[in-house]
Amino acid sequence: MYRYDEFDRRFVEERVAEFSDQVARRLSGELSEDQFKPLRLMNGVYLQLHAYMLRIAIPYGTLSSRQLRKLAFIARTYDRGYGHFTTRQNMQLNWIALKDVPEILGHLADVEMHCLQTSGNCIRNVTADQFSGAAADEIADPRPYAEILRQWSSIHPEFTYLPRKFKLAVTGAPNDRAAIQVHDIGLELRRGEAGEIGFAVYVGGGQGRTPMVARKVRDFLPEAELLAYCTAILRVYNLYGRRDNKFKARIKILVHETGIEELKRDIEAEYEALRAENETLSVPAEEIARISAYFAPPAFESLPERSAAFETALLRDPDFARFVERNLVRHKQQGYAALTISLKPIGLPPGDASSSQMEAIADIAERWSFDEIRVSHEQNLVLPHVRLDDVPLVFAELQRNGLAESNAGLVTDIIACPGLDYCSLANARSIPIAQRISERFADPARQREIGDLKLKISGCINACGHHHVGHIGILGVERKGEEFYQITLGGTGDETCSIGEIVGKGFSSAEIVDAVETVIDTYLALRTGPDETFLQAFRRLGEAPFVEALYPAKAA
Amino acid sequence: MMKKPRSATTLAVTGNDTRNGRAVFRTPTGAWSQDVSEAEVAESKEAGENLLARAEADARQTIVVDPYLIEVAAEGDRLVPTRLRELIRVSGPTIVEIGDAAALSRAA
Repeated sequence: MYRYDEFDRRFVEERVAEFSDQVARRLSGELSEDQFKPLRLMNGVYLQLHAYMLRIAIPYGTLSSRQLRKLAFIARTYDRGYGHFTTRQNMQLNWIALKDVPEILGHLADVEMHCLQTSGNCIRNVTADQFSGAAADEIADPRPYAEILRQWSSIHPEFTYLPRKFKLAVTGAPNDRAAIQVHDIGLELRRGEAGEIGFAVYVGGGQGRTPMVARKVRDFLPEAELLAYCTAILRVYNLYGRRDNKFKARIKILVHETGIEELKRDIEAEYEALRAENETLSVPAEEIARISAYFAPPAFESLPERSAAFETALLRDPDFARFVERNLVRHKQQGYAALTISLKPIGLPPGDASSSQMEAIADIAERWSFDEIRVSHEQNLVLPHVRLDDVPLVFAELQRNGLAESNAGLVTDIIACPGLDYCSLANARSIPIAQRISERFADPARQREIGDLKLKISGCINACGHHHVGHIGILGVERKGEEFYQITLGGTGDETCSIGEIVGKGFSSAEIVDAVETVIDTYLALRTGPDETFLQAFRRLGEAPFVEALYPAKAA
Repeated sequence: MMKKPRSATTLAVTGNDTRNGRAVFRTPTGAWSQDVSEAEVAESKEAGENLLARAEADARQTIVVDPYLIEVAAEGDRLVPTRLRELIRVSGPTIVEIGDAAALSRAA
């Protein structure tokens, strides 16, 4: 893991001191809310329905046990004993008092964490594949590059007041688990003809009220040119991005209004000008090596491919077999596995973990996963490096702590934003809908019959719940004081990225779970067989049979 | 953030406590309470605007953040917001929180 150097430590400590002073001035009345709001947002402090909300940055979703224990401590001491893991791999606390924020930031700084750039019109927390450094299909670990981007973008003087927020994601594998094509800049690590590392660069993706799939602007960008090229993109955006209308200010709108070819020319021209005047933006090979050393593989043992303890447990324990079937991911290192810890227990809020659970996971990671935990953008946690021999022991510990739900990638593994239960922007509740859907499909056998299915729920058009890229997406809206839910179908955030289409008028809160079941039953009836996933079936069939099933009167 | 009051409605003014962010309501004494039933009510647009003006003065004194008017209705001896959003602000999340019991009760 990356460790702070003296510069990082001093920088974060100075920011804690600066914001502590700003909080004190706000509480004393010296600063008005209008003056204070942009300052608190730069430090991850929102004001939500019930209290201040603190968004803690978890760069590229990587945590140590020590850091997770600190998050548990903060949640228990200053909040209500739980945290909410988000689709940007961050953690939010929903019940924070403003007076406590400086102290909390001090605790975070003690474990090399902060809340900087988790809000505001700046470059946000860089996200990455949750299986980085572990996945068998990985070309290279994306975290060193995410860390380089983090360092480059932290209080970057030119990019601190962009037209709008700006999000980057990096995947190290061709199977995109980081949803890079719905980011302002998406980076896919590749190898060139000589085996050298580089990136395919995508620009202009995003969700929100105008969802768009990013466009590729470079097929192969050499790794040394990463920062220079990102600078060129940001400069073009900063110069031409709209500032007259906040809803049209993201780079995706610039791509749409300018046209990708013209924008590519602008970016390349800016890039050439930048290179001509300043070569120092190239990332030196020694710096890449220095950062990469922090992410060197842990001291894996040389293990056989198969584990007798693992296979015996598979035969003896059906619950363990179900867990392995869904929550175990093949590791690049023989004899190891990555495990998804589902934060989607049936009937409970998606993405939440109690302080006790965080501490239990920290203990498990320390003992059995080289002290590492990951946060996925799908609101789960991951143990990236577990010996196959130890998987039965880890499973038993997860069971003891209510963390062994075997539903990764199934219909009950739902992404949901906080919605109207917490969020001041929301129009409708998300979490109760997720809970009711997970209860409806609670039967493990039924979930497995349905197979891979990504269901995502947002409580407003800002799409924090990623509904646009759900195979089944649900968008909550308010109509005449009532909550209604629109269904979108066919979205996906993977390497075949597509935006889901709205299938028709919305459903009431009472109707929406039945409507989801109708969609799923239609899929089950029409699929060619269990091997045809929901998304494959939808792409083959189109929306017509689903619309007919959802709106029979209209079809007649 | 001011919501224009409609006619023939009962209004109260709400905001968030500057110190802890909790939803609060201005009472007839000028204090702010987390109990909406203690709120001062206004029965006309003019009275609502007057109530809001006093709340905005409190905001300038750093007592509350972003005050605005909401519609409320009497239910027995209680006042209840008419919009779901405001009901949730008054009653808390409509879901079961999973936090450790001690922390939940301490922060309640």
